[in-house]
Amino acid sequence: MTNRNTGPNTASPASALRLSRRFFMAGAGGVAALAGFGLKPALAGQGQVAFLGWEGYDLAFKADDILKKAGASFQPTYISTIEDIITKLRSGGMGSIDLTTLIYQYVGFSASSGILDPIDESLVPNLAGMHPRFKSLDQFLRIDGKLYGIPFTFSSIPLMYNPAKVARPTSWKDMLKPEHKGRVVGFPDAMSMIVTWSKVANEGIADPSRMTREQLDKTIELMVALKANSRAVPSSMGEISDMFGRGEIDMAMGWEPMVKWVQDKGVELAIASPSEGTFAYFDTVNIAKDAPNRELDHALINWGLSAATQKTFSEANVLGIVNAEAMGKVTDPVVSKIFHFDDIDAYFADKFLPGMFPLEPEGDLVTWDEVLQAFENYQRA
Amino acid sequence: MTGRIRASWRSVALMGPAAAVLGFLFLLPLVWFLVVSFYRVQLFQMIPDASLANYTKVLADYAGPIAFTAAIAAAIAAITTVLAFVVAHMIWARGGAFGAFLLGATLLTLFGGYLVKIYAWRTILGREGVINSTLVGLGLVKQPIDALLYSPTAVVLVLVSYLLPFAILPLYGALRAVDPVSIEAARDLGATPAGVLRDAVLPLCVPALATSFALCFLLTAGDFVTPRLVGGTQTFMMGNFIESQFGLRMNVPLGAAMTFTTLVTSVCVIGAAWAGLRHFLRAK
Repeated sequence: MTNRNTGPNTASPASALRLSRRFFMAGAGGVAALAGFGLKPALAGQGQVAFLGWEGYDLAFKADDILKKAGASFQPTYISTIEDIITKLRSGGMGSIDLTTLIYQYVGFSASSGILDPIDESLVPNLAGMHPRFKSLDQFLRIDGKLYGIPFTFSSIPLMYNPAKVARPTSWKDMLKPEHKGRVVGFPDAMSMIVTWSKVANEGIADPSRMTREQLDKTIELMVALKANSRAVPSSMGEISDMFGRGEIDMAMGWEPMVKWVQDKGVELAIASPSEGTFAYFDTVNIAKDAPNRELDHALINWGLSAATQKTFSEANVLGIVNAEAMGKVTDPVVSKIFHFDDIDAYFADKFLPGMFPLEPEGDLVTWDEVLQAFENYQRA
Repeated sequence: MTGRIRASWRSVALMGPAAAVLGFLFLLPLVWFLVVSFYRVQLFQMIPDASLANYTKVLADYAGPIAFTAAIAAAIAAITTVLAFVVAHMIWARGGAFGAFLLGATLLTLFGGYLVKIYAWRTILGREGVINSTLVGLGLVKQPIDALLYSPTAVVLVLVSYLLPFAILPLYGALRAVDPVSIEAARDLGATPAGVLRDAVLPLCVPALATSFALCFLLTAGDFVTPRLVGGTQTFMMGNFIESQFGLRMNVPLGAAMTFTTLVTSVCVIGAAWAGLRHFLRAK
């Protein structure tokens, strides 16, 4: 039983960790330095353009030449849900975040609640290159005449299927058929599920965002039936494509880029055109309230709307774009075919673009919070 | 006297950083969350209030998910604790010179990472996974078994495998502290191997068993990733609904009320488990 530790400071446990004043002060200084610099939000301040949006969308606004000329860097932060943008801006992000990418439905209330700054259209000359069809989106993007969001990409939540396994579906109701039990999945996103299935549950409903309680209940009932017929409730779009790739499902609410994602796994997916229609949407670029690099932000947005950038963005992400000239330049045949760049009206022929649900009580219409509560009821069912 | 004051000052100074971390990063946010849980939300903005409406809503709408979460977390914690005790006991009693190696090998699984483990289990349990391929290959089943993945069973399997090393550590520590003389004495007095375990070993391990159970229970009750990635259509746990309040619904007050209700439920379950262990494993 010998004590091999014979160092001078180990005579007793109490003295094993000596704390000299100098050491303590050095430590305290280090902690203060960490608090002052190391823990400071990495995205804050001029010269660092903070981007908050979906992964892949940063490609549209990361203009290296412009950033280099301005002596600035690009700091992307990726979101997992659209609501992350609002949450981050509300919880101290204003003043440090520059660009966000809200879905068109969220722009109006985000602007009204003061988390966005208006965009100076005179600093975005490439707006002129936008396809004329998309000018009508202004109703969702302008508040008191000021523009708070510029659409830069579009896509939809279509009914996708594996033609090697099942016949081409003609209605969303095909996903509810007993022969497909355990071979279908819905979508992880609340808005996509609600607006899509409201069209199925309430024949003839013009705008799903103007629903009564009874219509919402019928929608949820159908969603619960879909869930009962489903393989799982998918956690992400990546998981849906994985399920297609592994042969676990034959039909799903999907997203156009999945065609390519699954192609890489040796499965050829097709997109159906259900009689009830398909939910299409635009994502917009916005300038956050008190953005630290306002002028530079405008330059980056303008760059993102140029024909060259839009073409690259579309081919890299398999997504729709808004620049009319760029549509003609897309050479990837899969992308061109999916989005009908030669005839954009044909793409939107079987699509619908709902507005935003009321945020406050409005007659007998359900509010957005009631819709989200109903979505949770569906999750619990 | 001066020496004692200096020693006290030194103790305070040494405890200071830990107390500051605990206070600022845990207690303060917890108190803030408790205050916020009485607020309300209007147009996604928090309005200070002193209402119990959030708690009423939680009890009315989420009693089912809370009960399900408590039940599955208790089952996972119980299974993991029993398995961990078996492994720890094996390492302690039979490991011999390899004891340290076996313990190291057990802890090595922690380096894999949480998500990696989940995806590994998805590969094992999926339609084209190792289990289904083997079963189909051996002709034991004609079609792959879909129920292996996206089910409560998958959630239990993934979490038990993830939590096992965490549960082994306190149990192994407790077993090492058991005096071999007391075991020898029990044997000399005619106790069977099962009797030795029941009367001489387990009573000394009650605090460690309770710690392992609590650790596994709390980690499971707060989890929202595993049920989402491998759970089925009926496996949503409270973590999923709480996450939804902080993200999708932007309703922090309701999310905070849900968190505290789940926390109180967890404390009750852990308290019951602790009392049960003390009662059933008391020294005779």
